[in-house]
Amino acid sequence: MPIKLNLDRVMLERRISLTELADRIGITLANLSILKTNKARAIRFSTLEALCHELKCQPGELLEFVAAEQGETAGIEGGEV
Amino acid sequence: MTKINWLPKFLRWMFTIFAGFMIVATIAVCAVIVINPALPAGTQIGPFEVDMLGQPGSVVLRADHGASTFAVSALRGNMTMSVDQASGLIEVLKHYGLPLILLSTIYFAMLFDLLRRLFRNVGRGDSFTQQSLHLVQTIGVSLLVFSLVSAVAESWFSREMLTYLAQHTVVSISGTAIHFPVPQGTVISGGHGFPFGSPYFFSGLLVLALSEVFRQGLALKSENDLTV
Repeated sequence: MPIKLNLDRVMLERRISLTELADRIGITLANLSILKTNKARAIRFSTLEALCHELKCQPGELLEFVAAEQGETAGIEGGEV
Repeated sequence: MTKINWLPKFLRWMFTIFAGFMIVATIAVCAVIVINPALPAGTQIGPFEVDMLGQPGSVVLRADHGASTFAVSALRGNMTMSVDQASGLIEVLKHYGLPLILLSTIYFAMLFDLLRRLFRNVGRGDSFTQQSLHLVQTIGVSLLVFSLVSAVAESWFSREMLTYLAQHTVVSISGTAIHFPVPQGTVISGGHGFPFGSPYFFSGLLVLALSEVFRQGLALKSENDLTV
């Protein structure tokens, strides 16, 4: 996926653990782990808002666009759903 | 949603009981095939009063040494139909009917077990999982295969039965016996062997169509699971 979430870098800068952040924003550790490892297919505005609020950052600091490598699809995947 | 939570549980238990009954029936049919019981000489079953095309009639089975008789009478005894060597008819039933019943009981035991597993998943809230999708697809395909196999087996059974009856049935009207002009060795075609009239065939198609709904539901759930 060409959109990368730099959650681990921001968390390191803020010196906050995964468990503590999960507690503060009210999502499960498993879901936060999915976000951190960039396995998520989508992120809700409410989750992004909570992350920005707790990490005191802008969405742009968390999200990064990485150009797709050759062979990867850049469009919306799973169009049949 | 919470109001109907009892339904998957109820269906799961119902299918468990049905699967249990089918397993018991399978064991019973196997036992009959292995023991191969015979009616003792002198046994008479009936006569039973039955309704024959709106007229009172009776059915009786008498077992003697090598000359059992199965007789059906109607129209106040004016018309009788008797099968000589009825023990042969019972043998046909044993050789061709029992395997047919065994096929059905084994299949239904398997089908009810698949349904029990499906509703166990549904009860847990795991409706849209790879396992549930696989179960629904298996049920659909098995119904199609069963409709085909049972149609062929039923046609085989009815062919054997009708051939035997045609060769050994004597119809008497007001005391005059009429023999069917069927020479020995004649084979009567019974049934067509096509599954398309079977309700199982259409149920199988319907379940396969539903499995596509499950497949799309699974795709949506996977998408939703990875939305944080």
